[in-house]
Amino acid sequence: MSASRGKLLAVIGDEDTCTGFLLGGIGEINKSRQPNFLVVDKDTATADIEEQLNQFISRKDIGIILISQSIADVVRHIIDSHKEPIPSILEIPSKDAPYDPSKDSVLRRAKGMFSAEDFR
Amino acid sequence: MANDNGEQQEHQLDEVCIALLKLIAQIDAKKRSLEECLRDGYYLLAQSRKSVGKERLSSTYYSPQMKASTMVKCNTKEGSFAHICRPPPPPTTPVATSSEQEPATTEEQGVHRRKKQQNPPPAPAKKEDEKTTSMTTRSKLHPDDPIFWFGILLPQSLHKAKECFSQATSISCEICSLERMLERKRALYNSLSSSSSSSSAAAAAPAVVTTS
Repeated sequence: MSASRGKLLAVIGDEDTCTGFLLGGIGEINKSRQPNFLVVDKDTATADIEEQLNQFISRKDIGIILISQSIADVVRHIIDSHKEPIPSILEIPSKDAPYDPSKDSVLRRAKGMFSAEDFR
Repeated sequence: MANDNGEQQEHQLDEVCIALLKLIAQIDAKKRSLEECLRDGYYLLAQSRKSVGKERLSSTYYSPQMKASTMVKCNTKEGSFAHICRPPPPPTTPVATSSEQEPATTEEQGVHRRKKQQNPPPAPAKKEDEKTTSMTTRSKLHPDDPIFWFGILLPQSLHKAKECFSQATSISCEICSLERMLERKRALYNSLSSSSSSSSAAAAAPAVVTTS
């Protein structure tokens, strides 16, 4: 039944990011009172962000995790070590900083493939 | 023979390399459009906040019983993500039907009119077009729509912000599909590259000469 229903999108971001995506209809609080979003503000501890991200990664009902790039920088070690196709972790531009492709984990891995030797 | 195999591998490697670079360009373009969508969405949210009040549009007003209407369908075989929007269940209380549906019967219209008369003084009779437009607008908003967490009379900017973020969700699913393809191509490139380097190393190794 869950396969036909599809998987959820989770979001980790500031209040505007979470509010916006929740307006789009992705928000859900399951029977165990677990939300699929985390609102991060200046008082949110890094350990809390790490714990929530790990929780989202371990949940079977989440297919994509959207995380603001500025927050992704804080938990870069978790994102870089995540190799599974599902859930897919997607870094999205934050409100305060423009999108920086040099920080994106996926594009950095792809960029690291090519060296001057390969094109000789 | 060995040369042919080597050339074939090189050719394959070139093709995979070109496909990889195209995918990277596509992902970069999609991320730029995602950034634009989000930027518009943030701006519209700020406008809405100015209308309804700073505290009104905050996490305090999130529903404690929210249910997702937007999901993603994951195809592990192809590595693709499809954005699906599940239509909400039909409301238990009757709402005005859209102009595209069959018109209500005379009796239903009469009941609807009588119910309206119980409320404060009715507005002057609208023209048919305006009535149709207002009915269509009401029918598009379901009672379980998250937009209603923040109130009933909401500014148009908030509706537009919702559309921006819905579009951003769709683009995000497309980006995830492209990233999965990129990972698969990367793995293929690495395997071809390692087999190509090992075969060229074998070809370059000096031939062993035995003397009797």
